[in-house]
Amino acid sequence: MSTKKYLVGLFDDDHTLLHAIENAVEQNMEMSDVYTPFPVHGIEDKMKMRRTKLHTAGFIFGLTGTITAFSLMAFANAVNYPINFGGKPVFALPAWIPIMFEFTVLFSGVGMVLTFYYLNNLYPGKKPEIIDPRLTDDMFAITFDMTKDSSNKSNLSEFLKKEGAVEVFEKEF
Amino acid sequence: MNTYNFTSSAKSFLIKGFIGGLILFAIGLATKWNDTSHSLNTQIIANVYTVVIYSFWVGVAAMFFLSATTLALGGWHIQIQKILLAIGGTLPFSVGLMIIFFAVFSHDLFHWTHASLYIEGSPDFDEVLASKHDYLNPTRFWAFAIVLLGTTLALYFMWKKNLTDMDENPSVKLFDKSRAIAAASIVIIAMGINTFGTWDWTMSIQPHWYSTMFTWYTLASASATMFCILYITVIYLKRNDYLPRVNENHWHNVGIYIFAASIFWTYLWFSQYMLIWYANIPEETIYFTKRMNGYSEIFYLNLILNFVIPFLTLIKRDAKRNYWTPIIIGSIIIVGHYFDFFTMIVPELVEGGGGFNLIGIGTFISISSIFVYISLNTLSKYTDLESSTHPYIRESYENQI
Repeated sequence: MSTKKYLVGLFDDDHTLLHAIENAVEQNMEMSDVYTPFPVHGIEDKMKMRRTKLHTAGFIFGLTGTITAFSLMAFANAVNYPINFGGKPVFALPAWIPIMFEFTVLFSGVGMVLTFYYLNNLYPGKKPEIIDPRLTDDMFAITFDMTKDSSNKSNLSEFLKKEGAVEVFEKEF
Repeated sequence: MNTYNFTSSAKSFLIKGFIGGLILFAIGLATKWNDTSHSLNTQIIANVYTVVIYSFWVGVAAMFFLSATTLALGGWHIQIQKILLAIGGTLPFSVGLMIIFFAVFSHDLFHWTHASLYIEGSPDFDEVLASKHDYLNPTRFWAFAIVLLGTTLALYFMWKKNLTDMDENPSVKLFDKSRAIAAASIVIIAMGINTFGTWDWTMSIQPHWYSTMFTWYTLASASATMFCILYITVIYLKRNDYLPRVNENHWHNVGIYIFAASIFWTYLWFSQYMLIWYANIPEETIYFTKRMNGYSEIFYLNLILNFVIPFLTLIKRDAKRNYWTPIIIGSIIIVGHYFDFFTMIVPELVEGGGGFNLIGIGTFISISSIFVYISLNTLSKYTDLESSTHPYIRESYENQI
């Protein structure tokens, strides 16, 4: 497996971090990711991240669930083996709607979890890539990807230090 | 500019709406004058009562939502809470109109008020209603009506006093008091006003029929409308340079509530329909029989306007943040829920179709113009439109979703 290299700048204050992100975006520096121990409001907008398309995936999964439930019930109850239940029509749409609803929720729920794992590169038995254990406690980090191109490393570390990073180091996985 | 100025152009627009509605109403009357299939008297009463009940529940829904968010320590709505209070400002008028209806037209509206139904041996004797006579009798009805309507008004005026006091000299004590009022309002509205109110004032129009879901169903319907009115008012004020610090995050929140209330309404509408359809008990199916014979277009249109259209259009995030979509969809939903209240009340009184005509449209336009006028007039009385002295105002300023 090829190694991944990151340049990490650790910050101890979220306002300094937000300021650093703003400047990095302004100078067209391509950040790999930002890590925070708690949700920081407005960080996605500042990073100019594109919004997730997970909802669209959820909608498609949900639609698949609706169609699955409907076609199975329609085929079984109305086409393949029609049985008279209490004088109701064999194509009893109102009675199927709760099941169609449940299938929609089930498919979109499970599908979105799996998509989320796939998008975040998570799977059972994955070796955790921990940048720094303090990131779950009181530290914030901006990382730059150095795997392919590390020519502007000194530039970037200088930038991070100037923005108030308490520590700048390199991390390999 | 922190006080809403109810301009004369807005006033004249609403007055024109009122007059236009009256003209439509008059045309409707003229075309139906020689039509003897339905009593004209009943049609007018049923249509006016529909709009009055509709606006009453919209006012109650506004008070309920204000209480619920306050009790949940919500902060985002602080800048627009005066609008909620202004929607509730129609309550004194709708309550007054309702009392007039109960006093004058109770025999036209409520079949069960006729005394001959309960005299054994008389040709009108109704065994089912006689067994319900302990509940469905005028004495109990009036006692409940006075207590429930009185409490509604008391809650509204307590809210109004509290928030006006908070504008003048804010204190944590007043805020705690508002939370106490909120807690009381939720319990009283949910278990008192809404429960018994819907049984007495809407469900008892069809006294043989009952549904345990009718209560929430009414409030869900009114809530969806209330959120649409709130959304449109927020945008209206914003475009007229009021509420400087309200931004797309706030109306996105309201948009989410429109979407949620529409889905919740659909859930209840469908559950009520499906259980009755599945059980197939004659005394329950009579409700839908009356609505599907002669009123089937409105009955199914209801579902399209209030579920299919909002669901498909408001599901995207961007649709709730760009404000034109929710304004158009919101107007559709307001009309759609008028049809919902229409199907609750009119098909029972004007049986077999033909109850929806220009009389109803005219009544809806003219009476809703009056209520919008009253709301905006109430809003213009508040000196601090965005509640800038409320302890949670910072949270509202910095609301972000």
